Amino acid sequence: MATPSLLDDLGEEVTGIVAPVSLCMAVTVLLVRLLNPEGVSSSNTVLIASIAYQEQASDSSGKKFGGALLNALIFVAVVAGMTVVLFLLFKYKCYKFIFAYMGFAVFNIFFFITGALFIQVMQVIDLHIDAFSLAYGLFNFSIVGTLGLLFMPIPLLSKQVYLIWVGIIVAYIFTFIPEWTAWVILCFMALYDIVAVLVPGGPLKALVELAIERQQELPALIYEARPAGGRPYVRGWGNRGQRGEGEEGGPEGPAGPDGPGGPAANGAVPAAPPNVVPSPHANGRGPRPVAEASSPAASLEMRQPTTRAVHGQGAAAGAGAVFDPYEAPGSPGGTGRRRAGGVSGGGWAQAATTRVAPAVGAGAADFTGQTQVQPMRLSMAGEADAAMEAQWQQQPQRRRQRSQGGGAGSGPRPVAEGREQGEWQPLPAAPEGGAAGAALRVRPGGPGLSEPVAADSGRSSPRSHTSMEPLLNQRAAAAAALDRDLKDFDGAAGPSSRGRVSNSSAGPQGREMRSLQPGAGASSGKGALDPYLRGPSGGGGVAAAGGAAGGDPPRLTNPGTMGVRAVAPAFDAERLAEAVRRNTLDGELPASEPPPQLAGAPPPDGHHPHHRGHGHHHDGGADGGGEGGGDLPDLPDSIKLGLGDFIFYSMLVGRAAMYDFMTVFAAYLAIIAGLGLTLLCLAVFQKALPALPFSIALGVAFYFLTRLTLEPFLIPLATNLAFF
Amino acid sequence: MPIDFFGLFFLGLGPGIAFFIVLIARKSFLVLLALFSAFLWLVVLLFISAIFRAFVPLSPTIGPYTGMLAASVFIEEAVRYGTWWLHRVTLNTLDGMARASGHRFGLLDKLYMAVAWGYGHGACHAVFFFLSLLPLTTGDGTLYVAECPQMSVFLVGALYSLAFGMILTSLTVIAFDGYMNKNYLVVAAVALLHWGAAFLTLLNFQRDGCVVSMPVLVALGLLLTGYTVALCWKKGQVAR
Repeated sequence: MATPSLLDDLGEEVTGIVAPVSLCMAVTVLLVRLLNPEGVSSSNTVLIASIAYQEQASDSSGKKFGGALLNALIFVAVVAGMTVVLFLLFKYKCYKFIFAYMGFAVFNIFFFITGALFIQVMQVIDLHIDAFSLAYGLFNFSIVGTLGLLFMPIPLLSKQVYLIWVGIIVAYIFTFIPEWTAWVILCFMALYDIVAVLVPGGPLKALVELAIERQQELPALIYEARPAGGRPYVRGWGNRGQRGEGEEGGPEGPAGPDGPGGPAANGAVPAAPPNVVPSPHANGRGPRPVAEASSPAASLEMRQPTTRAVHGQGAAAGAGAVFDPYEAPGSPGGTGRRRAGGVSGGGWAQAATTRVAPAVGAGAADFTGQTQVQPMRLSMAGEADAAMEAQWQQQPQRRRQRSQGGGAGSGPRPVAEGREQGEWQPLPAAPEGGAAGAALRVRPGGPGLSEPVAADSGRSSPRSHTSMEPLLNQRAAAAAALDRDLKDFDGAAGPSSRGRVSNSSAGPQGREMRSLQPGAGASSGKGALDPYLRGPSGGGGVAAAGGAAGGDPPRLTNPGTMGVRAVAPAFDAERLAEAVRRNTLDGELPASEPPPQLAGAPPPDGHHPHHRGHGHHHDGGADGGGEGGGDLPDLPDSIKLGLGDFIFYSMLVGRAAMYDFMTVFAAYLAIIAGLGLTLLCLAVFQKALPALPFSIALGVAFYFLTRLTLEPFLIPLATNLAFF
Repeated sequence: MPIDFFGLFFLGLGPGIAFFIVLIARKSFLVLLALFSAFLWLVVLLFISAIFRAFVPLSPTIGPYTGMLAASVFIEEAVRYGTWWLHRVTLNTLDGMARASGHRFGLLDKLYMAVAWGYGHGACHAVFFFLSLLPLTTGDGTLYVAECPQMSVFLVGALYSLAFGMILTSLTVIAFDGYMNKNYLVVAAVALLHWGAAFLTLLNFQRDGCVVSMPVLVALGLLLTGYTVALCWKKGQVAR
């Protein structure tokens, strides 16, 4: 029982998306059965679905079908038109308009439609509520929901719940579409989905590509199935911790070549390839980190104004030396190191396969990005503190900026608005940068690396980019949290100032930081438990650690497992949940508080070890493509599913519920199977894929098969009490 | 009536749900495997129903139903061999992954997976034979058949779900074990037990037959569950 089982957390990415989809469908079915069991449809509820033809029960099938076709065509045309409009708005940066519209729509859903449904449900179940309470509750519910979904960071879990709620409401409304029209619309939407996402020039594809190009998130409601601190993930994380210990140095023979030296060096993991080795992380998944590293770096770089980018480059190129791990304490490490640590996450694994250079480069570039003020400092060890100080002082401002910019949250990060835009734009101007973002990241990486990385970035899907960050963030956070724990544990070592510094670095840049941490986080997650790592980094906060490392001799150099054990318990479930929750609030916290990231929970996503093990590389959603040597394609850790998919799945099931429950279950199983198929394709192709076609095709097919063959067979069987 | 609904629901599916929460829901992979298994068995049900689509409704006498049950069980047993094949492929893949990652993937894990396969089978049958019809009990009234005045159709369905949930889950585990050890006697016994259980329900065509058949089926389910638990226990001991 010592070694963790493979089954412990295999497939959590998938259940992470299957569970909310199931929940959405279940509630929709419940609502349908509660409020509209007869399947009354109303042409007025969804007007655009009945423009051309109003279904009458008395019409012939042919007429219904023809009318339904017409209706569906119009419906899909409207949807496509809206997508194009959205794309144009996005292209010409009318973010305010997009958000205003989406805010308006979402508010209506949360306030008026939820209210209307709520009243209906209350009537059905014979409960009473006074108007004032209802209005008060609804108003608060809808304001929080609207702000949370679009404008403000809120805890991931509540964001997910709100998203699911939107899906439920809209799906429920869509179940009022007349029957024939509904089925034809479903099929047409699936077809449209294929076209829009896969065909070159399709509106969704264009939108996604534009979003990637701009390093923004899609201006849309997208469910993100990243660990929300829920139970399974917490458990997974626990497993991971153990595993980390158990496996450490596993396949990777050379583990801890610099055992003793290791501790000191580890803080600077990124820069120190040898140190990297001991981390369980490096095991057998060399390539993957590269991918990770690349995207974070990219995103970071993207944000830097031109000059900085240049610096970054310079630094990257030249600073390698500076980041020598052995210079650790007191060296530029303060921030740079830390940053580096972050990148290193990616970087370090790179290190494992390649050389130090890439990591360092990334780290450096990163650093500049982070400290935005003085890129140069990073090369001057002595100034590190000053730099950190400066940075620290800026934190609040920057943070505020961010939050004003609307981009603040780690979780719900709306599309960037003007200011951030400003920051990003310059990039293209950067000598190397711009479109070459990928190249840019790669370059420091050295010859060997560049190719895979580039390929990688090229292939990267929107999912991969966006999805990775939060996760990473969490990891970083985890690391940080561990860091703090360790400090506590040590009883002193970390002067508060240092803690703060690291905080500062981690905090405001929440996003960047996040992106930084791919490996580091993971490593720290695990690594934190790893005595080697822990020592130097001032507590395994590898990521955050850099900072700590900056000043501190190893605090916990004793590699004894006792220390490790002592730390681990700090991550109990509540704490994790709490941490995750705070994690998403970073934009809001007063500067003096430890940035949420620090408090953030480790990404409890337990599967990392697997990835590691299998050579699955892209966990953060960075697509590592096939270069991992992994034998199986792998899914990104955080899978994103457009809310539209939720809606049409649920609409299908809700529609099925108007007929019978047998069709509901059949359609449910079919949709989930289709979703599984889609995810399989996602793992194979590593790009944005339409989620509707498989599921809707299977769902519709199974609905009709069940209705036409299974039911006439099973019902006599059951009523004759014969079973098999 | 809600009381009927919930009473029958928990009678028929409660143990299965508890089992799911305690054992399967803890591991994502098992959940997915059970879902896939349920989907597969739904396909099989659709296939069987498609075959008999031309003949339904069968005349409600024991003869046609005997043939239909025999054929259905035969198809299911054939598919069970197919699931064993899938199971083996999955095991090989996972074995490789485990080796690569240094994870444990032992006999116990394989048993878990076999259980998930079986659970999917049992759950699929319970859902489509019983749960699909259960919402009818929320209305006023119920349904009895003449041959079984003691229990409503829904109560029989609940007992069926209970019994066959255990039977099908256990049989899958036992059958996979038999296949793995190339012990075809066990495999044959599994098929015979499945046939036997199915034919037991034919007793319901006799007047008052359900009073005999349903308790016997539940007892058979308990027996098989006990056997499976013992089997797993033994394997678990060895594995350790």
